[in-house]
Amino acid sequence: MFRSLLLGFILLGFNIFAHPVIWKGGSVFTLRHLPRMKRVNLHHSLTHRWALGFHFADIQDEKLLFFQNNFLLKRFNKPSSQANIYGFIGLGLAPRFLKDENFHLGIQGDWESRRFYTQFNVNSFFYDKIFVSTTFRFGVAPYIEDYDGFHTWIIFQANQDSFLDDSAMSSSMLVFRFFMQNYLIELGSDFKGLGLMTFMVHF
Amino acid sequence: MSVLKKEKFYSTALFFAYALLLSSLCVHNFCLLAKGEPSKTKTTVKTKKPPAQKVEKQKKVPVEKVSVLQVVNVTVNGMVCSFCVQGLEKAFTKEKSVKSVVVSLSDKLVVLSLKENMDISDEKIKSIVENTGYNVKKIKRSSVSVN
Repeated sequence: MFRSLLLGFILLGFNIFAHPVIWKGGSVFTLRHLPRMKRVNLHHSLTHRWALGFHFADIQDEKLLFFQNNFLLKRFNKPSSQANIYGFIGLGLAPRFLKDENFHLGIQGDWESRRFYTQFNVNSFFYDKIFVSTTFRFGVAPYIEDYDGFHTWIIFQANQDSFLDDSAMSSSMLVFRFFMQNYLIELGSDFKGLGLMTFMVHF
Repeated sequence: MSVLKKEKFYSTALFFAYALLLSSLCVHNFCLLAKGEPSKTKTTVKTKKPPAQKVEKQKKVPVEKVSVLQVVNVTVNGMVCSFCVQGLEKAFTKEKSVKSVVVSLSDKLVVLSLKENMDISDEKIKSIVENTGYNVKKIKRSSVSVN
């Protein structure tokens, strides 16, 4: 059942992406659809600093599957804000229908308060090509809600996706993020009509 | 999918995003108006239901008897996102000595109501908070008398 759902999401062109590491014993499932890439992540946090899981990436019809290690390298907890530095290492799995000898390296830094949110990340995918995706985000919450409220964020996102032997594609988009309890949805689009969609659930 | 269909698809998605944003703002403002005050103190309470037998026993206790419940206020650093703070609530709710957990992002507080005659040590609280990725700033205990 779950496998069929996962396959269904992939075929629909969605993509999984997640909070890299959450609380000890927590799991995250994320689908993310970006202009040049679709990603699916499912991982489980063994500690609040280390999560293991699977990561599927579809980069312009190149399908890659990784056994994923996510690390919280450093966290800064302040009374009214939090900052994090994460590292990602994905080792390519080699089912018959997928490419072998691939791996993923990434790093992410973020800072957020209850009003503002910033994030910078670089993800590199090494297979028979090298694909690098760089993203910067800045978000504002139009209103502040407490723990059990319906949260809304308006986010400006700048992207650069590039193959090392190809021209880079840059885009900027407006993204709306909504979350309540353990569900999160993001919808966004750039001015050329290329869109972004994210679905995330914690459990 | 052709380029035109893609554009239409994403335009529709963006339209829904705008609609969702506007409706969330309306709902939020409506809630504020209904309350007549800002929702900064809004909190969530998750209470474990006591076993049925225990409830029956409590009914038989004379009204004059006073029980003392211990309340622990834990001030936590880094608690800014409700989506990420759920781990704290889940971890404390699992504890045997904890009757209910209240999280307040605006006060940076996790309020634990303990079960009668039960306690939780400061070390245990710190360990739970750190395992969910946060830091304890202060722990304050108080007692509440209940008839």
